[in-house]
Amino acid sequence: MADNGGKKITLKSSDGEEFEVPEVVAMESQTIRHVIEDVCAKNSIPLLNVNSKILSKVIEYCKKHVAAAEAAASKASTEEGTAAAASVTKPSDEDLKTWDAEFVKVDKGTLFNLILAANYLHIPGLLDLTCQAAADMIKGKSAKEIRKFFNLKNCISPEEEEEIRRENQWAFEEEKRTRAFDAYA
Amino acid sequence: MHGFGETFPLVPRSSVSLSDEMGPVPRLGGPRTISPSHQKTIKTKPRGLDEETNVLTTANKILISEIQLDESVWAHLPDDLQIEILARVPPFLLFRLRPVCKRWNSILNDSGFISTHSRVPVHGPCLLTFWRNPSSQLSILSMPLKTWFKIPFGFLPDWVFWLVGSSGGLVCFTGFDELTFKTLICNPLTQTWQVLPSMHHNQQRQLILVKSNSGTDYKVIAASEISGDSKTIPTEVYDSRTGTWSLHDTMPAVSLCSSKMAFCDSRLYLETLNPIGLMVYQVDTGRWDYIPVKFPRSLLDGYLVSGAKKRLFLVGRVGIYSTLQSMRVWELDHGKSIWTEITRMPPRYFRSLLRLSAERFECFGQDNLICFTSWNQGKGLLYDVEKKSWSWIMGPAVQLCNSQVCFYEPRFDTLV
Repeated sequence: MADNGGKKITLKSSDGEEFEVPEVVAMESQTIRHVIEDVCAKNSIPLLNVNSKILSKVIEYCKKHVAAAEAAASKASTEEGTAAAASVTKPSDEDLKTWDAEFVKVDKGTLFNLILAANYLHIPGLLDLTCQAAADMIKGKSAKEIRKFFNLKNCISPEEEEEIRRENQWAFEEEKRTRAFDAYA
Repeated sequence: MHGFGETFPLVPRSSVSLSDEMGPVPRLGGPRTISPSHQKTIKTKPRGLDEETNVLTTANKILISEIQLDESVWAHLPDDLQIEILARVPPFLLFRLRPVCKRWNSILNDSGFISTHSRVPVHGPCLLTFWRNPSSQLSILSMPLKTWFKIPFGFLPDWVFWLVGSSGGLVCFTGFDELTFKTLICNPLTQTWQVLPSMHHNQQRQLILVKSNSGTDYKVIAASEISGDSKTIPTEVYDSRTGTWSLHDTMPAVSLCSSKMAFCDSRLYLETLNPIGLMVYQVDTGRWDYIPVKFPRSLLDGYLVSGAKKRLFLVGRVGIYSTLQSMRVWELDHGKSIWTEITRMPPRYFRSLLRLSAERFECFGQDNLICFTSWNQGKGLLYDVEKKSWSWIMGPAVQLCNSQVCFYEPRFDTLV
């Protein structure tokens, strides 16, 4: 990533740790971008809602994505107009997806905090990634497990629950494969 | 606004606790772990920063700086973030979450949820199949989930018989109600539907449904008659915003070589034999044009398939003698008006899909996916134009036998 003396900014976590990052990385957060652009913040931005552990993860995400965008842009400009440009950016898209998938392999508490941080700091890509990871987590859970997970008040009676389940029975019934088509490949 | 020295604290004006339990309490520079049992919340008033908090109005007004790595933390998730997560659960699986609680049961009608859902990345390609004989069934295959779902469609009138197509989550059906030809648009997930008014020339015609990219409005284009009568009638377009059909240009008398049409980039394409080429209907102008394009030599079938953006494909077999046949895909070079071959179906797939060279098959596609279905065998083969890969579509054989199939995108925007 270009470290050619680009402007740096300091982010301070709620527990007092300081992180110096290039401004362009910090601006992945639209919240921080507003502060820098509209309010003319000087050198340091305290983030009282994000602790150091989460902030370092967020910065890691922003650094990776800024670097990936810069690499794609520079490759596109050097091979502009050739078919090679399209095929060159594709592998790095895959690499980034793989990196993202690894990035969200964290414990539930960290994931939860990352969602809150991504929301608070307004980082759309990170919010999308973390919320998708959470959605994947609840996909396989039963109604009872989900209620416990989100601490939702059990406001429906077993009869009501049964009726709703009956109305949506089709979603529970998956039609199984009758034969493996792969055999024809 | 200026003159705050070196540091600029980002602090919300107030803190709000969530749900019935008290949220954890923030401590500025305090110890790492905070006990959730603390009842007080801290209200901070930044020095002269009242206007600056516009930066934070879009952020949640929560102060959760220190949270214990505890399973119960998810209970503190604010409503809008709960919706962000739910919107990313595969649409069909959302129906399984309805028994969880009253709120989640009605979430599919919640406008906040619907708008969030329309913003998240699409679920992935799905196939919708429909048939009336021997027994009626509407099924949707979710390719990302590799699962077929039997969708209840008792909400549809009995006269619904033919599947026209699908666009942006909406599905178009036609049928004869007594002697009247009728057209119906529905959303199978929300079970909402609407019968369109009769066309000016209300006969069984080639129809195509096109949903607009922005908003919930859609158009239905009625081209030539299916009965094959040589008398041509004006093309009509239904616009959901006006709720009416409008008359447009009549297609010039040509010999159509197939009744297949493809819609891409606001244009409807049909193949013609005499003169050789494509007839193109422009929705914006309401006029038909002719593009002289030579077809590939020895082409046996000619399926037109629309791809992503402006790409248009031609699919079919080449070669008269069965032993030398191959299935090929061409792409239209719009500038030069020629078909350029982009791929051939590998022989093993070809032999498996069409046991006999005279085997009947259907071909359709969208978004750079081309699907082949073999009527008698109930098999489906998928070609991904971008990935250049071939794969079989799994599923109970009966789903693809003698049924009408189209690509489908699950959406919750209900019919306007």
